Amino acid sequence: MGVPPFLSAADCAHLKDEELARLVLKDKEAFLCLMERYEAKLLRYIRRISAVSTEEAEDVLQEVFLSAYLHIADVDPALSFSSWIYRIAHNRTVSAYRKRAARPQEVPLDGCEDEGDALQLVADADVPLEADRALLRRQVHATLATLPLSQREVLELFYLEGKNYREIGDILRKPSGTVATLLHRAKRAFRDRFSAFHALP
Amino acid sequence: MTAPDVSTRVFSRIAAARLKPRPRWMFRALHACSWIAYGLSVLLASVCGALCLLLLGETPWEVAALVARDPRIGVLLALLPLFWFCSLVFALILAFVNARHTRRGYRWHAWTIVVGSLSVSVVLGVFIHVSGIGDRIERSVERKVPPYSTASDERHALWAHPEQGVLAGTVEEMQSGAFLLRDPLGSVWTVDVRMARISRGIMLGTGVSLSLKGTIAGDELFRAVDVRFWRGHLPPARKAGGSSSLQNK
Repeated sequence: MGVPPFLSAADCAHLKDEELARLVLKDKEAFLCLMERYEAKLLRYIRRISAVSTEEAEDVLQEVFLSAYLHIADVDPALSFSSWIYRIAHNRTVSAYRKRAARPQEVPLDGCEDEGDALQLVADADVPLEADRALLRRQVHATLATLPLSQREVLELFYLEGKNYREIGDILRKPSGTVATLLHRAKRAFRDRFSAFHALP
Repeated sequence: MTAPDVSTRVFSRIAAARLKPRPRWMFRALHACSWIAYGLSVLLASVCGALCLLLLGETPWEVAALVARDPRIGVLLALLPLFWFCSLVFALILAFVNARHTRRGYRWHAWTIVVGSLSVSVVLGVFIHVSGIGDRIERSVERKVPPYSTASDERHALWAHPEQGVLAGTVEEMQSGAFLLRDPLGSVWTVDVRMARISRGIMLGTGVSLSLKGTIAGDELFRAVDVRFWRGHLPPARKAGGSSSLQNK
């Protein structure tokens, strides 16, 4: 938009998220680097857990980035920047989701299916694997969409976003032990629903 | 490479509105407030615990035998300690919620918060009780909260059951190995303290309020085995002399 970049693409590339976050306080250009790094990931995450359209997801993402910018001085050094911004995204998305609680649960699958380890989720849930991997991924996402938000989000974060227990705890503001319990219950619920909806003959 | 749309839009919005990040001191102040809130709730729990200890320690449990005859005695015995105990539980719940709202409080297991808060409350509560601060706090509550004062007075008057082995009142006259004591019902007793264990810090003398455990040894003669401070007081008419019963108050 006509603003010459203070930071070059090379500068952006070699700086860590936490370093960029500190730089934002001196120059907002550094925030553009951070947004570019996280836009695609957060957009996908928002769409998966809230079942909203791309346009609505982008609106939520704008709010996420604005909130992150205003609160950039509050980045907790005890957690990764990724966990911090995912936490903001989670909170905003849950708020948006609850406003639309009555809507049918249709996951917009376009562009979401190839990411993450959906197949690992199926394997961990002890569900027999379908030969057609693409079909299996669609089934996984369709099943996830039927789970309650609290179970869906923990499965999404672990299997599809690749977060570990500690990171998930930081995002959801829960102890690691609670995350482990939630994940266990979510996998069981996923297995039960997947088997019910997509039982192999 | 095409610039991501959302990022560019947000960045333009930030530039156009000249938005600035909120200052660091503001977040530090917020985090400090959450810790202060936690500290205050633990302190409140400590005070409630101390007052529980105080009231339980000065309860004339001997009169509990009369509860079947007069259920009101049971209510008077239990009411105030129960009030402070419930306040203690409330304060601990508040402490738990406040701990969870600290910056990294979500990482702690619930039991860690509960046990930690309870431990600090117990240690601090015992200190508050032993140092006499609890006694001062309770007297202050008695002065400032009339319903509490009424319940407290009636509770202190439970000590006027010499037939159950408990007696309380104010020393009116010192004698050798004994003293005259006026109880809340206006009766004057001769109290034999030759075999009594007298609590540390008590200087027997006129005007001192005492609670006693012992037995009736004769007509208006009470042989004490335990002598402590009594935080109650005689109803005004009693101090001037007179024998009307407490029930007519």
